Amino acid sequence: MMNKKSGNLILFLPLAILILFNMVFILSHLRGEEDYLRIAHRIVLNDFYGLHSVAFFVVLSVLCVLGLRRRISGTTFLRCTFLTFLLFMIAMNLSFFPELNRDTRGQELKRFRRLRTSHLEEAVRSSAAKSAEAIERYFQLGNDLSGKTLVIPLSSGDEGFGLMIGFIDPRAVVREKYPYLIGADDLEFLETLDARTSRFSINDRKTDSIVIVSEDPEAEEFTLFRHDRTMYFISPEIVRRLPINLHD
Amino acid sequence: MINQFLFLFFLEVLGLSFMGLFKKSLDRTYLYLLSLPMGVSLWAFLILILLGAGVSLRRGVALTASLLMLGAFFLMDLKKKVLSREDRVPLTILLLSFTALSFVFLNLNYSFFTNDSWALAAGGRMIALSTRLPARMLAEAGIFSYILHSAGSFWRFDYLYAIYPMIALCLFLFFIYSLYAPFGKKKISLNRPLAFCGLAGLFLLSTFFILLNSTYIHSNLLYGFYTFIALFGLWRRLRGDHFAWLIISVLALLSSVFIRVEGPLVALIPLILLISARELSFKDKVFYVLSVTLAVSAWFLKLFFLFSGFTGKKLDADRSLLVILIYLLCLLGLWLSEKRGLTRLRSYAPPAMLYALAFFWSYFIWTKGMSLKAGELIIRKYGILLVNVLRDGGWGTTWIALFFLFIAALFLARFEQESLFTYYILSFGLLFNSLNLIRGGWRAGWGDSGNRMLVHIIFILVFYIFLKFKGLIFKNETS
Repeated sequence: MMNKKSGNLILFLPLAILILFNMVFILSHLRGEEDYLRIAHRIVLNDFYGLHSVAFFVVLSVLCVLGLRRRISGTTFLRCTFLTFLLFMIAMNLSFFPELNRDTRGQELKRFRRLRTSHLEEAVRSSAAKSAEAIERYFQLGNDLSGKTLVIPLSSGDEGFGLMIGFIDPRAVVREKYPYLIGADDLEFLETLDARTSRFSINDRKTDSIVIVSEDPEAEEFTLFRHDRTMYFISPEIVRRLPINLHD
Repeated sequence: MINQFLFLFFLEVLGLSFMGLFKKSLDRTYLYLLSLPMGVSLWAFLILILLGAGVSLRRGVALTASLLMLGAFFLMDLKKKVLSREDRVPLTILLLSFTALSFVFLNLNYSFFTNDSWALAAGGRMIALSTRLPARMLAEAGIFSYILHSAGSFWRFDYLYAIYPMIALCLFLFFIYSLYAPFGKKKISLNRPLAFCGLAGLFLLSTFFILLNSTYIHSNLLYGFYTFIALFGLWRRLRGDHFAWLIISVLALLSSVFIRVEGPLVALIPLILLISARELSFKDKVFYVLSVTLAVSAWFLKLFFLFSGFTGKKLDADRSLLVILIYLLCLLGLWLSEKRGLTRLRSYAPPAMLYALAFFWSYFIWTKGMSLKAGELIIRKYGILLVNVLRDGGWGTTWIALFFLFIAALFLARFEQESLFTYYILSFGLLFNSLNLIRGGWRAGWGDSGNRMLVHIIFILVFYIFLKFKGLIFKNETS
């Protein structure tokens, strides 16, 4: 008769193999042209953790050597390692605070402190009107976009600017004049690669031609448009007038 | 500002009067720490029932119903003679601290606001002012947070923000106390356990993204808190503690079901674990599964009719029906699990659930991963997740630490009813992988929905890890 441990092994081994198999499959794909593993490797060793990680492993090694020399019990060694590891991680986390704070909240905090929903509604209305105005100007400059699909990534989220609740839809303001215009979330977003460089791509199943209105002054850098699709950019000059937050 | 304070105070008193009913069976600290989240749940369910019954919500109706509910709990408290002399001092201190903290958070509005937050505030207003439930809104997100924000219209304040730091404070204190409470029964000095539990709290507090969520007007922290309470309550009952923990767990689980659109799916994990548990009586199980099934089915039936002729991105009429069907199947599963000859199969339910989730995940990988375009999609989705977890998600080193600690924890001595946590964490991990593959609109940055979803599991994961390491650190001192 099988004991409990062998029973568990037989029960969970196929599951572990299946999960491992999937992981290997994903990892082998991750070694594609974007090479996210390399990005992760770079983040750990340079961009973000850098010296911190190296310092931790030095401390851990010292602990190991000390532990072995003093011949402390395995339990004490594990306790010390756990506590050192935890304290180190907490210290590292705290050291990242200023950078993360700057990246996410930063100066905006002051603006939010006395925020009222009426301010937001007003901001959205004004943003919508300005978008419409900027696009109008773009057309006046003689750029013919008839037959093209205009994508406005007003929000890369699904529910941006209260679209779903129907209070106000900035796109609707523009759509009145340009019926072929669709919002970004009418399409399936393939991915937004990096918030810092604002690189992203869109998988459009409805049209072959896409125009992207972007606030990014270096819009030419928008890449990843594959499958022989044509991509148009509204010039950065116009784009700068659009008070659109691409990333929220 | 005063109106928002009155609303918060009302929720606290409502929660206290409800938790007072369990005074004889629960540790008093738990009563105090859970009063706010339970008050929030009860009030949200009251409004949900009114909405479900088709009552046209006006300010007068909502306020009267709220006060009637509070009155009913007060009457029950009086009947049970809950208030005693010795309660006066701690209750006064609690309510005074609550008032002081509320005013601090009301005056220092550090809330973080994005488009989603605005949608919540405006959606809450729609619920309060509109005579019809907006189908499009409910096809995208759970109704719980919208109901919470409808308070702005009922109590006449602009938008609800002070509740988020208050809830976060309750969560941190509840988390630390839940780790610390078992030490009180042991004959050891309590300084070191206190330092150990404080360290666990500090680990969470040192995570930037957790702190950001404490003031972020969104649903993630609420969801993380309620799932933690639900699982903790279930765990306590499985260990033989009072039935009150099961009631609290049901309320918390139901709250989590209505907070997020994926809530009904995730809530199936604890339900299946509960059905398979040998330690619970059939009566307990019936109470739990029936309460959850009835509430979920009733609401989704309402959604089914609401969604007729409407195609939503995440929810529609067909999917609402599917949710009802799955929950009814759970009820059937419970009935079958007690049948003679089938009871032996109960213990296979949790591994079967893991296999089902693993195959679900594999299905997406293998069907999508094989085509070039969808293969790219998989790469990007996992790549973004990796970049978020390591840098752009605002987690600092937290997930790196948790990865190593979780692996180490698996090899440490088991604690009582540990499998509830291990199965939940693994199942959630597999489900998260599948959801990660089918979701849209992802990006590198803290606002990415996959990144935010990690908040849903982190409290349970850290709690599990620290419980395991507690056994190691206090090896010779705890039984």
